[in-house]
Order: sequence, then structure tokens, then C-alpha cells
Amino acid sequence: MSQSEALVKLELLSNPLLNSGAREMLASVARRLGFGDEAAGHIALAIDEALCNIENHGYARDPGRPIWISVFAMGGLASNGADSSPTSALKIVIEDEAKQVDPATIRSRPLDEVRPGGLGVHIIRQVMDQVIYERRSGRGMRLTLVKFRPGSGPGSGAPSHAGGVPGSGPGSGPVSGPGSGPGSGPSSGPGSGAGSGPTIRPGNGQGSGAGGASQSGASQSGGSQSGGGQSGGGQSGGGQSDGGQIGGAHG
Amino acid sequence: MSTSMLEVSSANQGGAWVVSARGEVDLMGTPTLKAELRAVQAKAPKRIVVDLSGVAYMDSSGLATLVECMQAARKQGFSLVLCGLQPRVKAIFDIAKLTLVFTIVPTLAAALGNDLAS
Repeated sequence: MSQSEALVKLELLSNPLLNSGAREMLASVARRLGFGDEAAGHIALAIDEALCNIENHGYARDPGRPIWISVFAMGGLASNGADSSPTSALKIVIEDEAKQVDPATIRSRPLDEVRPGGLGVHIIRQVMDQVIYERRSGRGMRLTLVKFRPGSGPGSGAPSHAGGVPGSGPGSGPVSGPGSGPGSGPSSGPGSGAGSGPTIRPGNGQGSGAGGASQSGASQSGGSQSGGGQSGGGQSGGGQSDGGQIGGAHG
Repeated sequence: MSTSMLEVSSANQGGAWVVSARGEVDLMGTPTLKAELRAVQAKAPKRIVVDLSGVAYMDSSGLATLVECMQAARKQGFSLVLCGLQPRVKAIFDIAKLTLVFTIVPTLAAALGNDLAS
């Protein structure tokens, strides 16, 4: 089983009607890969909040726009037979073609302000181990979420909701970190050739060092987006078709 | 676990308005809850009890609606009590650090009791 192959590719419309189905399906996949109920619930919650943000803000409540979700397992597939190592983490990539925003401006609001709204990003950062917002190279945004399976690799002793800075665990969590076996190395992301590799490269260029990454929205300030001409690229291909520029844009 | 559309009803029980929700309080369902809470707020309640025992899932849109109701409570001077939170729902209050902001009791009976402060 190739590590770079998506286990699930899901394209759905930006309609809140569909959020329940998407989150429950992915939570169910997570459980099958050895994630407990709590961790699977966290994955469902993060996906739901991400979808809400895209629907409410990115697409300004237009229910007919596309959202792509891809799920990758790091390590092996726990239930895939004797030769397989357990899944150490799940990576979930959620993409849209909504208006682009500076990832550095996507942050959770201060919790001491009790008011409606603004909670979604905070919740996502609480329940996931890595959270990276970035611009896609043509249009739209990409959110990459990583959840380590409790009991495997970084973040194992500490439940991810314990309040620490997600992703700032030992080694600041290179995605391939959790000692997943040889050849796994999916730190370069969902494959699709050389293209979308750098998606999840933590420590991606400047500014996203250890703790910083998860607070600042991965500092993908994406200088390259001015080249608007590249939107072609066929986003119908599941949203990954545009990869490639992100990492390279930074020295 | 129910994944059906959210159903919300309300009834006056012993001087408190009890708003009962059943289903999933997510972006799809929240408007239904919000509308019911606003309708009840308009009745000049002394206490609103939100019974969440039938709610298997809630996200930040549901939390936001409850926060909004709490702000109305402070402004209008009624009390707001939440009861019947399932573990998965309780977890999101913890994650959002809202557990201490709301009055949360285990059961509807407790919520209707007179032993609550305020």
C-alpha cells in the first residue's frame, strides 16, 4: 500500500446538510485505523468546524461550491494484514476554491472574550496535532490537519486537547515523525508526484519553527499567489492538482 | 446515535421554560435551536432550561447560539441552565473552555429544582 495514496477522496458541496455525513464517515475510518472514540470524535469535530468555516466565510454561505477532502494514513494500515505496521497518524487535507486569506490572520480569538462565534479555529487547534492553513497556488485555501493516533509517536502520552500548543510536541512534529516504518516518510504529503509535496512540511521555511507554526497559521504567507494565471490546473481533480508552488516559494 | 435533523420543542414547566433539543446541533441544526430560544426569550422567562439529553453532537455553531442566549439572560435578567449533556457534547464545552461560563447540571430534574443559585 503506497503511503502517498489517499485512502479517501471526497468531493462535496458547501452545503451544511452534508457536514454530518462527511464528519461521521471520516470518524468511522479513523476508528477502523485504531483511533479511539475520543480521537475519532476530535477528528469529526475538526472536519466539521473546517467545513463550517469554509461554508460560512470562504464561500459566504453559497451552498453550491466545491470542497475537497483527502485522507492519508501515516505508518501502515493497522488492519491491513500481518505485514502492516499500525497507522501512526491521519492527515486530512481540506481544500476549497474560495477567496484567499492570509494564513497569518487565521487565528483563534482570545478565549477570555465570551461571545458567539470565532470558536471554530480554536477548537480545531485544540483537537488536532498539526493545523496548517495555506493558500493554494491558483485560488482557494488548503487546510492540512494531522492527528496522531494516541499511543503512537509524538503526542502519545498527552491527549491533544490538554491545552498545549498543538504540534509543538517533541520534535515539533514533522509529520513523518512518529517512527513510522521505513519508507513511510509521507512528510512530503499526498504525493501526486512532485507536486503537492510540501503541503505539510513543518518547519516550512521561515517562521514556522517549533511552536510557532501552529499559532501563526504556518506562516505560509504565500507570496506566489499573485500569479493568478495558474488557476487552470483542473481543480476538478480533487483539489490536489495545483500543488507544488507552496514550498518552493520560500527560500 | 441519531443523525436525523434537529428537533426542538419548548414547554413551560413549573415556571421555567424548558427547551428540549433532539438530534445534532451543527451548522444545519443550529438555526432551529436559535429560533426556539429567541421565541422563548420573548416570553419574559424567569428561567430557561436547555435540555440537551437528546443531543448526540454539537459544534461551535451550537455553542455560539448558547452563548448568545446567555448574553440575553444577563441582559434580561433570567437564568439559563443546561442539562443532560452527553459526553461528546460535554467535551466541546471543555475544549472551548465554556464549562464554567454556563450553569450545567446533570438532569432536567436538577435543572428545575429550586436549589440552584440565581
